[in-house]
Amino acid sequence: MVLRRKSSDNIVEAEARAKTSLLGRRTFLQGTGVVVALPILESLLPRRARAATKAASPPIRLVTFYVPCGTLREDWIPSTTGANYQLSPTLQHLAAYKNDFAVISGTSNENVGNPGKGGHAIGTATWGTASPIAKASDPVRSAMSFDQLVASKVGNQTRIASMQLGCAEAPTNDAAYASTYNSTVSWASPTLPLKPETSVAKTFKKLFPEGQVSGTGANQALYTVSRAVAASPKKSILDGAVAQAKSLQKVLGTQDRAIVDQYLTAIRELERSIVHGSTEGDAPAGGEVPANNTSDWAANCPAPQTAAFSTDSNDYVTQASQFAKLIPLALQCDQTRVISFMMAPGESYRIYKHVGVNIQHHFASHYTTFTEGNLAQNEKKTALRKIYAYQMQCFAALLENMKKTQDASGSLLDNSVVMFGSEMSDSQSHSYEDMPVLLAGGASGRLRARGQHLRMPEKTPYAQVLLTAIRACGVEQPSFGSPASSSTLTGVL
Amino acid sequence: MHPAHLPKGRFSYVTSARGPRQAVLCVALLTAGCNAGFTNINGLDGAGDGLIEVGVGSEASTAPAIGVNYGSADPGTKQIHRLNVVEYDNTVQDLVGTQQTVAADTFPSDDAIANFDNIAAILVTSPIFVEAAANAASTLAAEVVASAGNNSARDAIYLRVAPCAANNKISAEACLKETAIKFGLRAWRRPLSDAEVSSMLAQVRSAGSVGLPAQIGTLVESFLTSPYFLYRVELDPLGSKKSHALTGYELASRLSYFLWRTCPDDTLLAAAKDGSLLTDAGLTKQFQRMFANDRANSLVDGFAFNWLGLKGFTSVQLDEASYPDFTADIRSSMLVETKMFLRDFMLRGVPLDQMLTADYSYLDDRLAAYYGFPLPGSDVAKRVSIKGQVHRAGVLSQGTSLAVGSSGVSPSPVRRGYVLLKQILCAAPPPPPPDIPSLTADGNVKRTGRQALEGHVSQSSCAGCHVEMDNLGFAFEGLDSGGRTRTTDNGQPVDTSGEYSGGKPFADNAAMMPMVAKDPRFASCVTSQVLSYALGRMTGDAEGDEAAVAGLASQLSTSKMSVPVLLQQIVLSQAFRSRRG
Repeated sequence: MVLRRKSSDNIVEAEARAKTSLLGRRTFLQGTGVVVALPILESLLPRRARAATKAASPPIRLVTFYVPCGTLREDWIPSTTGANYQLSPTLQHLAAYKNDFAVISGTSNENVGNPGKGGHAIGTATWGTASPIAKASDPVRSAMSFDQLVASKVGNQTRIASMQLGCAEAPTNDAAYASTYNSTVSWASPTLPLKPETSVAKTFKKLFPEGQVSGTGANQALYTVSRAVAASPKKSILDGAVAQAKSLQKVLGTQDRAIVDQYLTAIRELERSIVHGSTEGDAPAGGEVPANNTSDWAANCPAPQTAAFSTDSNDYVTQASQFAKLIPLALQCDQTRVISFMMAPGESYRIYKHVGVNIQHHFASHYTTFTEGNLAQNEKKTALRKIYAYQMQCFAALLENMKKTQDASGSLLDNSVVMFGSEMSDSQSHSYEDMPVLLAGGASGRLRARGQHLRMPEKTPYAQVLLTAIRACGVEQPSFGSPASSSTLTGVL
Repeated sequence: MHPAHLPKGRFSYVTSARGPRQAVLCVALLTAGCNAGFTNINGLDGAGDGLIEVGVGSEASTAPAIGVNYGSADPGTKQIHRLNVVEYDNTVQDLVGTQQTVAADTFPSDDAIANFDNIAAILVTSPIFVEAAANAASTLAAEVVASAGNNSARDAIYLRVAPCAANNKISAEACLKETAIKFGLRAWRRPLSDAEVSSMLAQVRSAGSVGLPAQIGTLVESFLTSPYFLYRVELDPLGSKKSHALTGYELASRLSYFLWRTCPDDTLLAAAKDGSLLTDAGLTKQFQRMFANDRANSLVDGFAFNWLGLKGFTSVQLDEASYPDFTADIRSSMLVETKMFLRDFMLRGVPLDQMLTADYSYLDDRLAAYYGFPLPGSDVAKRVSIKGQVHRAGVLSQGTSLAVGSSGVSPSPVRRGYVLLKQILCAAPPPPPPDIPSLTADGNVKRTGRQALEGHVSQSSCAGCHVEMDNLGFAFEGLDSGGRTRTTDNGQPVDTSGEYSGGKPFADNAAMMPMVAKDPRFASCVTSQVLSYALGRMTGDAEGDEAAVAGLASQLSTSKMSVPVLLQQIVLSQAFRSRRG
């Protein structure tokens, strides 16, 4: 065969090519357009919901909002507790939503018993699990995270079991640990980290494949037919892949079989999420077409504006603001009920230039221990305050968008659990004591502590926060974490 | 060649030490539901029980050479190895002829350990990867179909995938089958069994595609969605826990992804087929052929650049106010500088110790002016002497390394020292402890970065690791984050002096680097790093690794630190040619 020259043939050419491909990608993503009226995109609607009785209350959704490198502790913890607590300087940025969230202080994630503990990788990997991770030299291993536990219970009721989203940044692997631990907070199993999708356009396309559900009610839909993007995989192709994977598993050892299992699970999830409606000769992948296409929960789904989400950007400011709009839309249209969002990977080295910060976040966060930057402590703290103000504004935007989104009853926020947090309380000392936690949303009335600052007794396991969030979602999980906690936070539910 | 006598649900790995070798795996097709996709499977009528043979075989006239074992019986093992983003794009460019970088554009970015992106244990199969791969297969298949009938175009990739489509004397059916066999061999990097060919054709039929181009498209999509394409599979004999030689095709994949980061080419596949690859002479011949090919440049990007922690350079952020001249153009020149420099060691046999100490580099006028060196008089980078330039010695004094070792505002001696310890000497300190104490009581007094870090010495929980790490980093204090020299830090003179481990004093990084280059840990560390990259697993995982690294490192040392010699010895080693299990 005649092989084309590779990019590595010429180094300068390689760099030029990298630039071209970026351009190519943008052009590619813009190549959508023709709007055609078609009947309802029925399998966009949740299966079980179709059959469910309509009298039930709306489903509870879970959103996690992770920010890296902790907080400035002196600015985070409110000085008073209870319902009339005084907002701390950082939380002041959420003043307009004070009655929509509870501040939980005083929990500790120190007791996860990691070998050689310390550092951001462990904090990030255990943020959603409260369980130890493998030693640095061992294959990647953590535990199922709490969002995935919830997804494992409710994910089959929506087209997409769960989504992991985030703003783009290459995670560091400077430290001894694989970058995997910093790159996600969602673990479907101890060996399956779920990397966040950072493309707004791809997320939109996955949520609203080949089109969009219109605001004209559940019986009409507008599709934007993509001309530039090839069709989704066909059923026969995925069936063939499944058969090959099963054949392959027969000749593999246990460890490899588990990997192929991950492949198989992903293929099946993909089949499940692919919508019907193709006019191609081949049946597209997907499940059975339900006869009843009415959805209780997607009835308020508005017409998503393709144009608003079709251009992609590697710019975190754009991504954060777009995802803050897309997340409520995904939930409102009941395409999924569990979403985790990462502002950045753990141990982030981002420079928040647009708010006037000139030092990488991680270095700033070590304001007394790293001296890089020649910035004095107070200058680093100033940088941190700007970063945290911005992050709070992003979180506020999400809350605002969820609050103004009408759900079947109440607002979307009323029917959601939104957890905010970071891998450590205080990056400069790598402390997992007194973890920063906000529990926002109403969980359909389950979250009683909204509007309060609850100070937990010293050394309350952080696992209790996660168990509380799980139960707030209506999932009756007996315990969570390792060591396991079987009680929820006092006074929250 | 089909062992129809095999009982259902079992497989056999036929490994005859003498005579033609045919290794064929038979597996049961699991459920009745799968049979729909596999009707009319040729060659299985005798078995009649839905067995599908997985083709793996190659034919060797003699027992395969297992390679130099350096006194160790354990070549190690690894899990099935998913293609990473770079490998995927390279592979489909070679295989299909596309010019798209579909993986770079749409796949989740790969994680890394110890800076390497090709370690099997880290390349997890996340759902968004599988989804992106399935969509990529569709996209690429669509591109193939779209190019049919466009035969005169430069990128008529359809005919590359299915050359028989241009031949009027071959029926569409025959051409489809021929493509399944020939394209399948390249896509799955091994020959397909007859049953597999039949099942692929059955899959095309069940897709209902009309016309040869659409059928070829479905075939391509099927091959590229398959686990046999997405993973490099190495199989063990049933129940085996012992070391055994790889098959010719397995070895071909190891070799091509190591040297080229792409699939085996036809010549390599032929050497796998005729068994010559399993001999010392045949393997050496293929190594030398491939190493001389331009594609071996991937060793610079894929290995050396990642090894030195420079992958982050393209995205590193420096404060624009402090480094206004650190422009996109300068960054691009810096990238070229380091890559051309590293190529000397990876591909041209320049002794590797000079990577740390060299008094030359590759500069264009723009970058030379930026560094404050005499202009080479060229818009494209050329080799120039930098002898006498203060603080300049080797790759760690180049703009790429210096920018990566910074906080965005000013240098990070800790990071610079850490990279040296971890990547060059394999002496990484453990992660920092919890409850890190504050270094300075008075944090608001301005001082040099070095002065501020000296608090590490007085803190017992820091000193154990930081004294050595910081010391190595301080040597670079004469070079700022943007890669330029500096004489002051925060208004005070910089201090670049220190002591190398063992107490030997140095004046600055340029004086220190020869000590690093002579450090016996260096040869051993490089060997271990190259071996990790070659094997796609971290060395140290297997019991035999220590002996293999020691043996290979001594070959590196006696070859005057020639990386090409090391690469060849690795390829000929037991660790590369065999696996446990």
